[in-house]
Amino acid sequence: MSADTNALLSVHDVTVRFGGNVALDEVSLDAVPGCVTGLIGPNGAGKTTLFNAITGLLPPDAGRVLLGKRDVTKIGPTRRARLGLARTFQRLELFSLLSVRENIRVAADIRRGWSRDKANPTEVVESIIDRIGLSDVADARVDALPTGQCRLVELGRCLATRPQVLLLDEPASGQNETETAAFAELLVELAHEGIAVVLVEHDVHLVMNVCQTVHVLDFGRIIATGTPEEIQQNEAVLTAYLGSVAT
Amino acid sequence: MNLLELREIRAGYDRIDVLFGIDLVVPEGSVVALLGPNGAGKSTTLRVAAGLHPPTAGDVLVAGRRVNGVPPEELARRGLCLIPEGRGIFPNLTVRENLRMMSYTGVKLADIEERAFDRFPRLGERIVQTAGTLSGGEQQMLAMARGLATDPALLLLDELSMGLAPIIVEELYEIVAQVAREGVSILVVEQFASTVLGVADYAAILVHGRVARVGRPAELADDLSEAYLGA
Amino acid sequence: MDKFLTFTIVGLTLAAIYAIIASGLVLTYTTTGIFNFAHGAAGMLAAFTYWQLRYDWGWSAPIALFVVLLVLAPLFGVLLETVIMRGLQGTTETVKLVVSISLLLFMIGLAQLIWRPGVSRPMPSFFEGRTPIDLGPTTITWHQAITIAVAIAVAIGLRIFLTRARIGIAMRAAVDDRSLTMLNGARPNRVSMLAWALGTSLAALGGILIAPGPGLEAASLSLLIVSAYAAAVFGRLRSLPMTFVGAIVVGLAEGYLAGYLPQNQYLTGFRIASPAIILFIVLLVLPNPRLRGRMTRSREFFPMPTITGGLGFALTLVVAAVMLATTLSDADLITYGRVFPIGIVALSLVPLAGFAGQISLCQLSFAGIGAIVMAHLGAGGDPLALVWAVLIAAAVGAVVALPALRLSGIYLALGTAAFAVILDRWVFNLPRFEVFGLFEVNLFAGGSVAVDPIRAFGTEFDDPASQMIIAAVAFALVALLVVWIRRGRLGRRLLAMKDSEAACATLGLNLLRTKLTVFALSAGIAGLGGALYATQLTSVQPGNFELVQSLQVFALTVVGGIGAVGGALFAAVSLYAFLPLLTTLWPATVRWVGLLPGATGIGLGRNPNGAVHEIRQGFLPLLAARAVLTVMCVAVTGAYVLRLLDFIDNWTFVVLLIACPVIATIAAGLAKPRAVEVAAGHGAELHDVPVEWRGIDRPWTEADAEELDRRLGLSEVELRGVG
Repeated sequence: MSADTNALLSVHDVTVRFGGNVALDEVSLDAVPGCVTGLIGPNGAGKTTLFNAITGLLPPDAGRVLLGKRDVTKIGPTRRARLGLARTFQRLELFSLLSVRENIRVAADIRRGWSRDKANPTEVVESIIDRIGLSDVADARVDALPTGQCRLVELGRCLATRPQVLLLDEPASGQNETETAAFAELLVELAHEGIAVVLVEHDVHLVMNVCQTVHVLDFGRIIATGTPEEIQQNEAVLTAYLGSVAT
Repeated sequence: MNLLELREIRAGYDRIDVLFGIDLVVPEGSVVALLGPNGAGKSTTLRVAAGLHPPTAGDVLVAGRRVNGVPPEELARRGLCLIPEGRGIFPNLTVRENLRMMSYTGVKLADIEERAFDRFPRLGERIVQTAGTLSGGEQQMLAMARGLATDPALLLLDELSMGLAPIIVEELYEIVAQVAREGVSILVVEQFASTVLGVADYAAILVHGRVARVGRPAELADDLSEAYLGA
Repeated sequence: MDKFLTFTIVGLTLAAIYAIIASGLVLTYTTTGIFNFAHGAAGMLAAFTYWQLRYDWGWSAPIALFVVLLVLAPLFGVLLETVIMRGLQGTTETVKLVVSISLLLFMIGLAQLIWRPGVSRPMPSFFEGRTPIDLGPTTITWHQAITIAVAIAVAIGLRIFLTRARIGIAMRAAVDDRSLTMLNGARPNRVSMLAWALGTSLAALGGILIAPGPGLEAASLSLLIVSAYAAAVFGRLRSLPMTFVGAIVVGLAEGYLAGYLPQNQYLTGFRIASPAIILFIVLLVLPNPRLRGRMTRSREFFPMPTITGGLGFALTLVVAAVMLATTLSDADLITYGRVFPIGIVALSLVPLAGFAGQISLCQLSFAGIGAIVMAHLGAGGDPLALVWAVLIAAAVGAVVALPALRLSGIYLALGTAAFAVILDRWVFNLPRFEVFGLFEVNLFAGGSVAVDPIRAFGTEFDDPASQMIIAAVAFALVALLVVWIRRGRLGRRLLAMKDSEAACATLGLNLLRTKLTVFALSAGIAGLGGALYATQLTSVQPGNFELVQSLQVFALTVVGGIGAVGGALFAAVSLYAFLPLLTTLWPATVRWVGLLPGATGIGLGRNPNGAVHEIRQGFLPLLAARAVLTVMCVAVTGAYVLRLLDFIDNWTFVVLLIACPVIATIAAGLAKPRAVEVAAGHGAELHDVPVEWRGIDRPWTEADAEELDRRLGLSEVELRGVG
């Protein structure tokens, strides 16, 4: 695997086993600032497991995770987050008892608690709500929102921590086409601001539109890496996805 | 006759709608594949058909009779069998105990075992092994063996291939084809087309809770490529 | 060597009993997901019933055993499952816990109602007269031999039942995947019923075998089961073989402690508390759980309290307290005055359990610490002792929290319960001791300690009236503090952590520090409550701060609404105003009131929003109708003046005090339809049920869902009210 010296996040040969099952088998990938890195693959291929290993929710059995130059394999999720790592969850992990504004405020307050950056949290929160386009529902409790908007709240929460690396786990599922289009624009913008984005997504149109590099995960292994065009033509990918029909 | 018919099914979780009017039929003796990307509502459709999830609107008909509200165990006794996603087995029970659970449908244990080991000789060798320690393929075989033990008229399979190596998936689908030849009607849900289209008589593509396309497998290849890879 | 063997046999006998009881607990927990706190109490009731049949009515042992173990206990188990437990599927862990804790309280109350405490009920062991069996170096009594044999038979029987019988296999299958058993055509409800029948029978068997040792006493017999809990936790509440291993470890440990622990005044309590200590240790060495993601979705809804609402609530309380303090007799004030300090202890649960979702069953133990501090540092009435009470209790809270932090849900509940038992059975009973010769510690002085009244501003607050007002003011201030916390950064953070620890951690929140903070805060508040409680009681003893009281306060606060300050007041008023009032008005009820806290918890513990919500909703029209509100205030003040001038007596006053708000609410309700008509005339939309409560008060409709989205912004205006 390439060892990009620019990479804000590098995963080196990470292996995770659940009992006898190998969920991740020596997976390596890099995320560089300014780029959206796609990660696709069938259900159960290990995408969410990889995110758990990167964020420290699940200790890998082997391999290393680096944030910038720093090896974070041994440290917990909280400290990784403070090094600029943020993620969303496929199974939404919103603070369902709080409003949209409060959800994002919690994240902003957490950052204010430990960082030297003393930006006014109220302003931070308002600008993020504006940016993700949820001003109309800012005071609604999140469990009253449709899934598509919940995904945006999770993104907004991440943004409030001012991440350098952003892991998005199926952020577009539950969104309608208009929402997804707006979301794609936002993703590109975020990347341009220098955030390294890793995107796990089933909406292939979105992945092919916004990603510079795409990795395909199957049975816990990366079976292909390349530009969207390369991936669409890749034999191994076609077989994995379309099986006998493709051939 | 249609063994299973879904008419204008709408369903959701909490207040989030997942299905927006699904129409689907499984004619007697045929294999129907239900395909579509993640979150399209495939599993929910199966759960509605099996009586595990109440639809908010629409009718479920099994063998021509409306069965909305009939509890799942009753449907099971009437010959409908769902093999749920992620291996429909009890991991902490042995192979034999797993099969024994099927005797609640009224079939004798001896018959169940005979049928199961006939079709899956490998399971016969592992009869006292705890199901959770079987390989993924064997677990899926056990799930199918349990499903078929009762001689169901309609088999609902959810993501048979999930997490299994292609070679094992092929083996499993050979068995599905065999079962279909014996006259069982089958509705298979798969996220990826893979091997299932070689077996299916019809296929439907589900996108965002609606049936986007129905047809013979050969007619659908382009649509699938578009749905999955955008090209 | 002989001694060793003797105590090995003692230990193994205990182990056998714990194994029997614990296996029943594991059976019900795994098949239905409900940890039955009342499991031990079922054994207790069985022991009493057996005594009744066998010794009071003189039935023969086999018939009595048959009736209790194979008829009454299974029936009772089935009853519990169908009437109470089945409805708990899909509710939060807190609700399940409250219902089973309430059941425990109810069953203790029931036993005390039927078998009046204090009467001697000798319960001989089996074949008591017969010569012990000679084993060479030592002997074994028939009772011990039978107990061990029964446990072995239970182990083998369960093993065969669970692997050979189809329904037994179905029981294990239901543990793996409940909905899949349905697909197989098995009926999971039948499986649950059988599990509860069997589990209750095992509890009964254990109860009958253990009772001859400690004797028949409802509360202590119910809590003796702590040892069985420790055994079950060994098996992580799932594995039966590990549960048996755990039972042997716990039983032997207790046996050897009985044999070899030096006899002195410091360690007598240690022996009694040893099961709790073992439970605590077992909980701590359990492997670290993974960070919790979202659990069962709670349907609870506690609206954000408003500042004005909080202030109004606080002011009303203080005014009410002043009115009562100046009208009631001293004796009544001593009785009812306890509402406020206990209310403060209940308030301590709101941030901890309500906001942060951390269940604690040892709040009265923290209160006890506050009381001790008050007794010693407050000698002479130094008000600064209150500050020390808060600080020291908070420090102890933080120390407890440190090991308890790894636990959550049912394990945290068990851990805090174990801590409470360790304190009230051992630590609080310690006589005076020295720490490394540096300083002396004298907790309850091995009995009880006197507490001096607070002296401040040159006055000594030694009368019940002023003490009640002080406690009421303290309650009001703490309530405001809790409201302020909920509205601020910490409150949001706690609610966030309750929902998803995983999300909080990946956002950079230090979970450890947050939990420590809330534990310390909560323990500090409880310590304040304890200190004020102590000054009211003038003399305190360990018995004032026992686990059972913590359980009552916890259960009733949840019933009232654990997420709002009103819930705490509800708990305190129910326990320390309503119940005494009831027995004063109808002395005949005195024996029955013991059942009420438990019954309330069983009946109402299911409403996730708490009873206070319903009450507040009833008052909503009143708060909106300003004119009626003003008239009511005037009327209340008038009644108060009449009482002060002795124109009316206390009873009339109290009746007026209660009647005024009730009449006012009705009046406001009558006034309201007109308001709706007027509003409708102007084309405005006004709904009788606030949007947030649709679906709770009446079924959801599509329109409601849409409207909720639109109108949630208005929620604070709509819901202005207490707390």
